[in-house]
Amino acid sequence: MVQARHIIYLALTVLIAIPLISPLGLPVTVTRYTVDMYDAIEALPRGSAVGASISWGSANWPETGPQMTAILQHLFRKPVRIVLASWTVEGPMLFERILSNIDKGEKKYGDDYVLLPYIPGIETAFAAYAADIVAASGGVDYYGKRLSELSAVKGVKTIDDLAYQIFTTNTSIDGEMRQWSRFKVKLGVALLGGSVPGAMPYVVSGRIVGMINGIRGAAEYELLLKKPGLGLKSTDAVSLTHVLALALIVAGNVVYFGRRRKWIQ
Amino acid sequence: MSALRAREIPISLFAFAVILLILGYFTTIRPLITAADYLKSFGVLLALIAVFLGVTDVLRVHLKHIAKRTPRQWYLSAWLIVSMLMMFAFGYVHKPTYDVLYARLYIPLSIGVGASIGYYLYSAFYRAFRIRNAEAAILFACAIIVVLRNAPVGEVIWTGFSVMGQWITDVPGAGASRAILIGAALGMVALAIRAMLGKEQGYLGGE
Repeated sequence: MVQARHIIYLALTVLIAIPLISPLGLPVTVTRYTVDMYDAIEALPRGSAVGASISWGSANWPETGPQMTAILQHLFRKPVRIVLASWTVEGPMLFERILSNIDKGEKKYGDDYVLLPYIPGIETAFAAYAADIVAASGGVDYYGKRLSELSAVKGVKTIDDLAYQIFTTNTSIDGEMRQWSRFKVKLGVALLGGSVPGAMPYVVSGRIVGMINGIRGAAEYELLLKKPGLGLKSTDAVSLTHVLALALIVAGNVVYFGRRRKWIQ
Repeated sequence: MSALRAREIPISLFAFAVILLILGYFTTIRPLITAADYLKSFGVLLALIAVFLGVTDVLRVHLKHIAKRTPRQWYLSAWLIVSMLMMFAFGYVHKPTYDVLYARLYIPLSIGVGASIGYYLYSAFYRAFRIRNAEAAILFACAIIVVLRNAPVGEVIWTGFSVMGQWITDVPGAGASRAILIGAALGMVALAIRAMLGKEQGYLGGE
């Protein structure tokens, strides 16, 4: 027997599939916090080192993957050195996947960018990384090369030696903020839409400069980069499924109150 | 009670670590800061050991299921061990195969499992969100505005959703989050003090 949930599952599938097959092309406006991150990266001094980190797994790829792809694409266009750090086991593999999908330009591994190994311990790892990036990584990169031999991390000891630290996460940002707030480094964040409310105190206070909000934020960043990707492809599906969510809440209440007041059998 | 089981030893170690980290954080005394930094690096090492322990524990639990032929479990345990060892071996022996397995098998499966939660979520929107009182009505009104601010279709319907959604996120949303944050921080300080005094022993295990 067909139940309400079966209809909901079917509607959700159809509303995700339609815009992917035939995009609706709804306009996307760029919000302030996305522009803040773009501007912060544009303003990075030549030769400075920038940190980018992953605190999520592949299950979050549809939302956080396009975010990190857009950010790294922007960083690889700039004359800066890039330090890639991972707080999840999958982090280095996810970075490799992203790196294989972006235009790296003239940048060479080891000279211009470096991939650090997985640093376990979550908040302990954030603290250790902030205090001594090389020591927290065990002195080697993901491929076992000694960091002391790689010019990408030359002169980089603490997090304060980075001009900008961008972190992407699938959960609360409180751990990073607890450990990094006392340092002077400029911080930027990309996170799931559901984690945005928890990040707002740090954003509105100005401690975080630049925030990418969910898949919509990724789409905005792709617009700024003039390089459409998965973020922009997904926004129509986001629009339709968000409207479905609101419609389901209304429908659920109409049925509930209708039954209570005997309007509906 | 043997000396090794005494609660005082782990509690003292905990208190020492907390005090050292606090002093390293709040003072400018170089030796203390250096010692605190060493402790943080040591924490990463401990976490690595925990990862290794996790792997051995997974093996122990699932080998036991296989040995006992636990009904409806042993073959899943066997599959888990085979998968784990296979990925482990390819990671060291043949990286291209490992990359293919990771990118073409693990990531799609992982995304699929993650996405399936979305279906339950949408079913819950229909079944669970009841606007029974004024608070629920306010919550729903805010949800409409913020959701339509996040979805590009919202601005097509009415440009005001963007302005109002941004205000809700920036002002009442940030204010409420700040209150939660400060409350949680105070709770964490109280918990640390209780743990240092030995009044909170949950982290030591046992009863």
